[in-house]
Amino acid sequence: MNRHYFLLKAISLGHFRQHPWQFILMWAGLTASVTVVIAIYLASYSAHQNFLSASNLFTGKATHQIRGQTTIDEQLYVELKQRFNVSATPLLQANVWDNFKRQHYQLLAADLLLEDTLSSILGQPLTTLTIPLSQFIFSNAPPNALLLSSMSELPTDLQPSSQQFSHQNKSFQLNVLHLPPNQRHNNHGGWGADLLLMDIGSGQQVLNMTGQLSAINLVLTNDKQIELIKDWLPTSYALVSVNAERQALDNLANAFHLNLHALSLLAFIIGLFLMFNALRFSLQQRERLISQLRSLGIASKTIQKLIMCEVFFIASIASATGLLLGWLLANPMLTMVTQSINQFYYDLSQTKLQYSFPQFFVCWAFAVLIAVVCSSWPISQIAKRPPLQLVRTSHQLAHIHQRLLPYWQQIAVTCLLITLCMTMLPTGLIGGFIATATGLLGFALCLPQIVTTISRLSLSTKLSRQPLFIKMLLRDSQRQLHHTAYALMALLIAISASGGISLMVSSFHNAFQHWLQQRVNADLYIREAENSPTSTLLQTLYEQFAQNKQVASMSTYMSQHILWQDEQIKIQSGQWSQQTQDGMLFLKRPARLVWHDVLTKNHILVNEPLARRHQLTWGDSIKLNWAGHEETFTIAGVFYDYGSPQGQMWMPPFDYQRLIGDTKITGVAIYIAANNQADELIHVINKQWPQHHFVITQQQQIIARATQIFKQTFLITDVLNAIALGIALCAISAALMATQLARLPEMRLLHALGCNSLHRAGLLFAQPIFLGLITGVFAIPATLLQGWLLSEVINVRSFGWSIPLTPSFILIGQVFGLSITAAVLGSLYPIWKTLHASARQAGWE
Amino acid sequence: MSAHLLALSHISKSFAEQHQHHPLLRDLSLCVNQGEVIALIGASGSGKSTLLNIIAGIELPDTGRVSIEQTVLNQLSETDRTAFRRQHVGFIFQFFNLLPTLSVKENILLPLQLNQLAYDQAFFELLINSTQIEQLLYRYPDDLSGGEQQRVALCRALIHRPRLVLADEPTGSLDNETADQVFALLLNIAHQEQQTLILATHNLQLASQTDRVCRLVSGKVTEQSLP
Repeated sequence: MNRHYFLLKAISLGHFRQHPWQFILMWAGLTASVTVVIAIYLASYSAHQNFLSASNLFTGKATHQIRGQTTIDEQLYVELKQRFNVSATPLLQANVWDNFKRQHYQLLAADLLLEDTLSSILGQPLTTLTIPLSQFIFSNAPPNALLLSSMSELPTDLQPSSQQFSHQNKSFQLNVLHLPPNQRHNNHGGWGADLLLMDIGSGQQVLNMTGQLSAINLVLTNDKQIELIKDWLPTSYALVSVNAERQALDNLANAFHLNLHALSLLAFIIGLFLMFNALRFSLQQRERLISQLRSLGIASKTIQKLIMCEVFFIASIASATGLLLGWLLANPMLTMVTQSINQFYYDLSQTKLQYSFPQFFVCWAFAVLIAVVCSSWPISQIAKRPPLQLVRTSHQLAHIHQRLLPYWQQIAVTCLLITLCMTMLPTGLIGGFIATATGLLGFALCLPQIVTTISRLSLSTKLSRQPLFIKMLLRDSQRQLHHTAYALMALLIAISASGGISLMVSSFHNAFQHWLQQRVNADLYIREAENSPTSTLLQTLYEQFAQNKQVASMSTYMSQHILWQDEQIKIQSGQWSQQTQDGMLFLKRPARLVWHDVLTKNHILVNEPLARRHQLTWGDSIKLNWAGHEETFTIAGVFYDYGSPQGQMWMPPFDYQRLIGDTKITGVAIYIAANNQADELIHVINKQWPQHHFVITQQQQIIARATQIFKQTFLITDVLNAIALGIALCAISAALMATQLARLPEMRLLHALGCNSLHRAGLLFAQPIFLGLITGVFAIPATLLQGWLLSEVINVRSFGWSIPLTPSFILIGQVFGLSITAAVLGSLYPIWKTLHASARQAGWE
Repeated sequence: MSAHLLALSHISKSFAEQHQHHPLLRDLSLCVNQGEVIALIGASGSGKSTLLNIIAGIELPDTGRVSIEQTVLNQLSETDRTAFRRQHVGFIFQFFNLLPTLSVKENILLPLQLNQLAYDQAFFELLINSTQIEQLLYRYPDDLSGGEQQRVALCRALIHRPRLVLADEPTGSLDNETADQVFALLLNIAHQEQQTLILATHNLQLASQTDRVCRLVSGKVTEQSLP
């Protein structure tokens, strides 16, 4: 025990006491890695769990659900029960606002005696609970509700309290009973947000929805019965399979989650590099010490074990810190992830962080394991060397490194070939990520050879008649590559990946803005308000304003959701004016030909995401089914749609009415005649109809809102990008700094020889700048490749959006600037150190 | 009468360690003439290297005065001391300390570059011929043996014809034969160039070949004659 303690003190503790910054770098590298990965993992996992929990909450054990465009007439439920005698549960759902606590609740009103839904929430029917809750909820007192809180610190007494809520500007009072935790038996992973549970009759009363339902849950196992119900349902209602829909939504969001994990993995790898590089550097510094111990008869295995213990110790602390920081960061991340999911896929109101302590332990163990595995190779290499060969001069190390370069070149070429194959072949999203990773690695592995070649060329030209300092700079750049190569490669990977992401986002922003300006080209967009008295107001408005001199032209919109190939598709139709038609941008086919076909029978338009997912192109035929009625349509064109990755089809009104059987206009777009103002027309509309009947939005408002949503959606990408870049800058600066710090004895010697501080600082400054310069220049094509891969491969394969790449000089300048910044940061401390160091130790070896 | 090139008067230097001051040099005075060769001997830790560092202006004494000709070194700023050292002092270290990124020739010419002095081909050849390193000029320090490296370091210390050459145990890490060769060269060139040479060494045999031997004991210099 004592022997090991002394050895540990000699090898590790003593070393880190002398070089605490190496300990800090190793700790910081792994902490940063774990923080980002855990934050993203928790945010992504929680979002997924919240989605499952929310769907379970609303659907319970149901296999199918009947939904309408807005609400369902309660009479439909009565008829359904009478005709088919199936297991069915009427449901009413709404988000309500607690005026006092200023908090959102989900209100779920159900027929509590039928308890099919409740079983999924409480784990058992309400009537079998140990306390007579049913007596409370069915009492004749003012409407009562059970509060199933996700927060355990809420009062657990069973004294009801009166609370005021509001829904759509209408306030109401509820007598609420907080259900204590021991009364809950949740078998579905818990509801994420606080839930108010009440009887459906009371719910309809307080929500002002008498005779209306949000949905009807059904448990259907007989295919024949399913078909019969589908045939029976009126055209404005749909019977959807809960599982198929959930799976389709879940699959759609998978690509988004995968993208997040890929980004967090980038930060993880860079952080791991910081730890690995610091360890490698510290091992090189300890070569002499280890040599002495080996000469004194200490076995290599003992040394290996001791250094492994050191790594395990640092990794354990760093992982634990990373877990804590990741958990803290996960909450704001979850908000951003939920924001993006809400924009892209489905409404997710719950933002509860879902985690368990075993998960934390597994993450901690995994991070420690990765750190130990990554460190094992350099440790085994150094511990296995015979004592006499242990201390290698920089010259020997440089020589070994130079011999490695041709192998690196071969790996680089292989990586770039893999990128090419993965890009050209239909390898899916995973293949796309492999292409981006190998593309980055291929470029990075070329960098050391490029530095060597540039240095050699500079030395061999007439330029080599420069002062000795320039020669020192060029030769040192080559000679120190065994130290700097990994840092430079990591720098290139970090800034190219970050630059590529920025390029993709900025190109997407440009494409989105262009698409938005084209698509949202009407002056006013009008839809009916939710509390509109009738459903034909828009039709009336359309007919009245068609002849109005203030209006140049109008378009109408109708829409319905259908399930096609296990995916929920929005079918859109309407009378489209010439301007609306002009606003559509098509892939690969002139708009004139597309519109010519669309306006003939059985032709449709599909949006790009849907076409990409199902490999559809113009001329292909697809079959659509609505309420048992099936028809074949030919795709006339594929239109760009950056609004959502969800599938959309456009068809002319005659096809829509034949297939869907619905003529209800859901929106109107108005193009105002020249010399007329939008405000004037709004005034005319409001004069004719009460203001609250319509929601009127001006073009600029839609564009501003869409742009805002776009920015919010990419906030998570930007944040992750910034975090990865921050870690990268620290990692690379630290690696370059370590290299420059290793040159301090050389600087002391120059000082002793009379080299002034300016020259010494210049030498320490120039080398990282030279390396940063080469990396920055080489990072530009790597960034363009990354941007292209993200836009043309990853985006297309995950969301179905093809984005024209629009590189800008500012972005390229940023990439270059980042490289120089990392280099400058890496040189600052060594410069400070050399300016404040005495030349006294110059004569020491 | 020979003029004093170097005058050290009442030099004291101490080091602080764990809040305690350990005096290393105490009220030390020494004068060295132009062209004189002095050997500094003393036990390890007696302050030989510190004294050389103070003479070179690398370190400052706590008290006292260091004059080289008319220049009071310890009254100069760090920048001026560095410039003075660059122009007037040649330093040879025990562990060669060549710059690994420069070839042998470039290492030797470094002081000329630093001082922006013209390259004297004849003197350069004299040095490399005397030290027998003419075959090594385009090789790099890592490829040289210890003796070869020390000969290169010697050339580097002398190439800019400094008036004062300081050598801190220049043969300490060499075998006897190589040590004798290197020392003979150093003496020879110092005499030829009328340079003042101060040499810190443990080797009494080498010390006996100098003009004067000074022993550092308890922080003071006492002159000693060797047999």
